[in-house]
Amino acid sequence: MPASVWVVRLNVLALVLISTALVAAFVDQLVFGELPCPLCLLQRAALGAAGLGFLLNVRFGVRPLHYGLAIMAALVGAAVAMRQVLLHIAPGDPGFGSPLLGLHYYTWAFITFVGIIVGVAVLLSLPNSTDGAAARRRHGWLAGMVLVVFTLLIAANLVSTLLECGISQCPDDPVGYEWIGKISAWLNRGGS
Amino acid sequence: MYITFLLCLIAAVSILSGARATGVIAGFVTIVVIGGLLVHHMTDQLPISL
Repeated sequence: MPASVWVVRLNVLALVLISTALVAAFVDQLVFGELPCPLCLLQRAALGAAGLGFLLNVRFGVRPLHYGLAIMAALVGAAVAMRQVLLHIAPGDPGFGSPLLGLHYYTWAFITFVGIIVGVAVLLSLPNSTDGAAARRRHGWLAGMVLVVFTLLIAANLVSTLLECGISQCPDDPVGYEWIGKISAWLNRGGS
Repeated sequence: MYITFLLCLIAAVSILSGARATGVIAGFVTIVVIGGLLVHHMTDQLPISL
């Protein structure tokens, strides 16, 4: 029996919410100039990995394996976020970056990862929650656009991370884009 | 760090292009790498500089 259309729509909604969180992180980075730290980047990557589970559900049908992928990514992401929360939990520590609605981004990230796990539990509890077998699904243009935007956001994060850190380890407290500095220095030398 | 997004992008593009098995495997590898980098961040012992 195929999964109900509402289950698929809720999977698309989950992708929209994850994409919104990734866009919010980019706004903070590009508009407010707060460069992401290594743990921040790992949380973004875990958010993207969790989105892969929903992407698989929308593209190939709702399967327990796809939900398993989303849950495992959310667990790893929650561990990364909790690591950062614990790093800044000492009294008087201002935390990393500026807070949003009283909580830092890594605290919001932890809440988001827990929310993903709870959301998957709810989705699995709905009637007709999974498809009988994996098969390519047809979906509307709106869902197709959500899939493409999510993928583009992952690509944008790859480019941003390369510009910030290059192919080496990211600094714990980044102050600039390493590769942009190198490229502009190379251009100033006349490309030699 | 870029390696996590590279793997995630490979998974997403594979899924979009219809390669389910590649997408699932790349997705799980992404999760393992994120976990490995978290351990590296906590211990600084793993021989990686990603």
